[in-house]
Amino acid sequence: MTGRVCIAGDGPCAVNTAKELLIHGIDTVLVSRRKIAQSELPDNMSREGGAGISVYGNAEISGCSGCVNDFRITIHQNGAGAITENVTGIVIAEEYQRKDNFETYGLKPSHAVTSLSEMVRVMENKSDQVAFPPKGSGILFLTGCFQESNPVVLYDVMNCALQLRKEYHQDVFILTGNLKVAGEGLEALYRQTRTAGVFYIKVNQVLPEIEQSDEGKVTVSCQDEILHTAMRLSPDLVVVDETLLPSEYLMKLAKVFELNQDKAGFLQSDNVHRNPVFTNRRGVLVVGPSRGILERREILNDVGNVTIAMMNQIRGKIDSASVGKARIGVVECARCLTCFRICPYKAIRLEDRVTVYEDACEGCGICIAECPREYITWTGPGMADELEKIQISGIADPADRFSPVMVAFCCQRSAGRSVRTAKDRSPELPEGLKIVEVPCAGGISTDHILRTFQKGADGIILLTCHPGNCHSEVGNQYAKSRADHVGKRLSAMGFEKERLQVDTIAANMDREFVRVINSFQKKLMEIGPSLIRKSLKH
Amino acid sequence: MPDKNVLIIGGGVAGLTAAIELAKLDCHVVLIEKEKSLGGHAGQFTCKATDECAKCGACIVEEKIDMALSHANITIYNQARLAAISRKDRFAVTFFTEKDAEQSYDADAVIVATGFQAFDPVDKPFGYKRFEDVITNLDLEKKLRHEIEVKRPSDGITPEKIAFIQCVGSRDSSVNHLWCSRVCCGSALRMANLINTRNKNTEISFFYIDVQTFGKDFQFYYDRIRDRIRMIRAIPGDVFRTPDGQLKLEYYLPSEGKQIEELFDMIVLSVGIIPVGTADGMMEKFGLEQPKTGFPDEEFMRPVAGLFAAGTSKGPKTITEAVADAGRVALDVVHYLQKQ
Ligand code: SF4
Ligand code: SF4
Ligand code: SF4
Ligand code: SF4
Repeated sequence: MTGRVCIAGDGPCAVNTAKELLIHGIDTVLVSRRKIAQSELPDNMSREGGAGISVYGNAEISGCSGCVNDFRITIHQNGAGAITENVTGIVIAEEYQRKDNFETYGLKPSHAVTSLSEMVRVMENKSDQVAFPPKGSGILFLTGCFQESNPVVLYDVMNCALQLRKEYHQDVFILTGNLKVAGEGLEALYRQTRTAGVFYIKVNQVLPEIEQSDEGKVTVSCQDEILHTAMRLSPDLVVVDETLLPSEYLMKLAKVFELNQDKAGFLQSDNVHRNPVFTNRRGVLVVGPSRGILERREILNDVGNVTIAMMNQIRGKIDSASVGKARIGVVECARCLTCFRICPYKAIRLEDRVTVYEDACEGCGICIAECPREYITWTGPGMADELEKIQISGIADPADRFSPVMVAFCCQRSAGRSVRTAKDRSPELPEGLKIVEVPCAGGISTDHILRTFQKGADGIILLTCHPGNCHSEVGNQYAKSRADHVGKRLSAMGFEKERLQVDTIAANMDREFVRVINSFQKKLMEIGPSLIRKSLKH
Repeated sequence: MPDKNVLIIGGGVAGLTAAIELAKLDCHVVLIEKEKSLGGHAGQFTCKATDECAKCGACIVEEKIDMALSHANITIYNQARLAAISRKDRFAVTFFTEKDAEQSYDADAVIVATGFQAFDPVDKPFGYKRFEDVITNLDLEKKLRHEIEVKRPSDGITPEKIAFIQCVGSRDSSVNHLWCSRVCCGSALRMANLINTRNKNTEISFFYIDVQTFGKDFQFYYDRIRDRIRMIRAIPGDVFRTPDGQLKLEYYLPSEGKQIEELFDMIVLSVGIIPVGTADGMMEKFGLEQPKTGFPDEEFMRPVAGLFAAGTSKGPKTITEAVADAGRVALDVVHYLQKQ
């Protein structure tokens, strides 16, 4: 299979992605909202035996159907109608939107108040006659005082400050909250600016008072926290920092491709279980400024990771926690659309009938557990086979005491891993413990739980990822709510609901695993053997 | 890339990730790790989730270890040391394995993923190594991985007051470390929140210069937890021990404009990420001198074709950043091998 990847974006990040994919033999379709000048594109846009890079300028992506390896993208180009492109994968590589923070500081742009971008532009185009005031009361940068800033903005601030100082001999002040020097080389740059004579005022606890006169001139009263001195500045020019935001178009793309977003609205949730460029949908990747506030080097890294991911995808090598996938029965489906609604990976297809996009299914089992008619089954080995393996009836208690039989359903990505290390390191795991690893805790159904009790388990513990740490985003929540539900049913039947417990655990916490299991065992010892197990014995 | 051999030095999260990515692209990988177990520093870190995952990335290391161990194209030697390396068309490598057996290997490319070294704060006036209850953030990571409630090392008592001192050996011109270590603010704040969540009676004071907030949702996390931590913008002076075993810290409190003495039960030093040096003298073997920033980055490696660096050996990185970096390096290696 050859790859053909659609890239959404109009800046350097999108162009670099196209270039890198081209080097590795992958064709691309670049969809840009503005017209990209020839000079911005690589000299060589073609490759042997392939189409190379093709460009849609003044165009927007408005729709997407299909799934990984077979997406159909709808593109709206100015002047032309809708165009459909077939692609194997999608990369979202939109740049940030920069929003000035005038309002944050209670300022209005004037001859004495300008934005950081404007200052960067002036510094970049030195030919623009820059007319700075003769050495007067100086230039003041406002950054990260009322809201936290970031290394990308700080780099611009310090870079401009340094030039203003060195080349234009201005007095430069930087009024800041937390100085975000964590970016590469920024601490060194900070020292350079200080040596050059840039003056820093740090505030955090006591915020500065900023006033602007009717003529637009600004006065700032503040208290430096480090030097503990009160200051009053009336700079000739104030440069106000900016916030980096996802653009409205990016928000729209999130909807078009049904992608998760982080709290700031950037694409893909903050999900540590996924490679940083992966999203909740297979074949849809997101790089650099579309996924967060990243420095140049990190953006470059992303482009590399996207390329590797696309190469692997074309070669059919996709990592998956599950060998099995979901399959929907042909005749029985009631079209209630539960599965369509809840699949975290958007792998359910809705056409004349409801089916699973096999390539896109991660095999989490959530739909299988949630289908009200139980019409979805596993292809390949599934949970039912795992359950078959649990043998309880033959287990006898030691003569003198009760030793509970516990079944721990462990999410493969978290508890499953901690079990493996726990086994290596602490051989003292209870004898009656049975481990069942599942691709996602969200796939443990009511039926699995009840059947395991029927087999005679004294207790069942579901070990899921911590909230916010689930590869399937909500698998742990499903596990929790299902357990609550089953617990109520058990109580109604006169069965102790305490025999069913849910806990969260991370992959690296083998000791905690042992602790959780031991305390569950203790609890079961207090409750005593399960009635079902007792009756099975007799 | 079939039939290409890559040597990876270091089995931390970057080395493991690079190994996995290259193996998937059909390269043969030999990974040598000097310690007994894989995972590097991050492999010993604790989970910092409270009611929610704190996105520290530490659990990802286990996943990488699992994947690397199970991949047929990856051979791993633990407790291995590089003995010699030279380059003609390819790299001729010899290393000692665990049982001191000498092993040779011909590699088409080499990735240095030797990670970082933690700054040793023993020369700072904070009493490290003199007072048992002064520990580093890395010590605390390991402690929290094993203890539910953090205990004071000297007597096993639950501390009521803990001070975190940030930027120890980072952003410090006296030791010529002109960089911010990037991860210690996040790691310390997450651990502080974890300790305070598990025991509300433990008060945490956080001595800092600037708070670095990193990662996608970290800003929101910080906003949520900051009220529970006493944030003090000052780097304290000397630490002393009182006769009854507490630690006395002196610092200048700007908002009051005066010098303060305060007692703590435990002090955690957020030590900086510093370069490991020259990876068993390997750099010298290629005639490369100490890099300017101390960290051997791409620029520094360039003179030797086929030699790459990944992860924190190139400079401070979070766990996810190290993963992303190693992926990039894997692609660079593939690109280099294709041109061979
Ligand atoms: S949840 Fe089940 S019944 Fe409902 S649409 Fe999906 S397969 Fe059909
Ligand atoms: S198993 Fe999971 S990924 Fe697959 S279709 Fe069902 S819910 Fe979606
Ligand atoms: S990312 Fe960190 S806090 Fe979250 S589950 Fe993993 S180890 Fe725990
Ligand atoms: S991350 Fe925080 S503690 Fe670490 S060096 Fe940077 S500012 Fe200091």
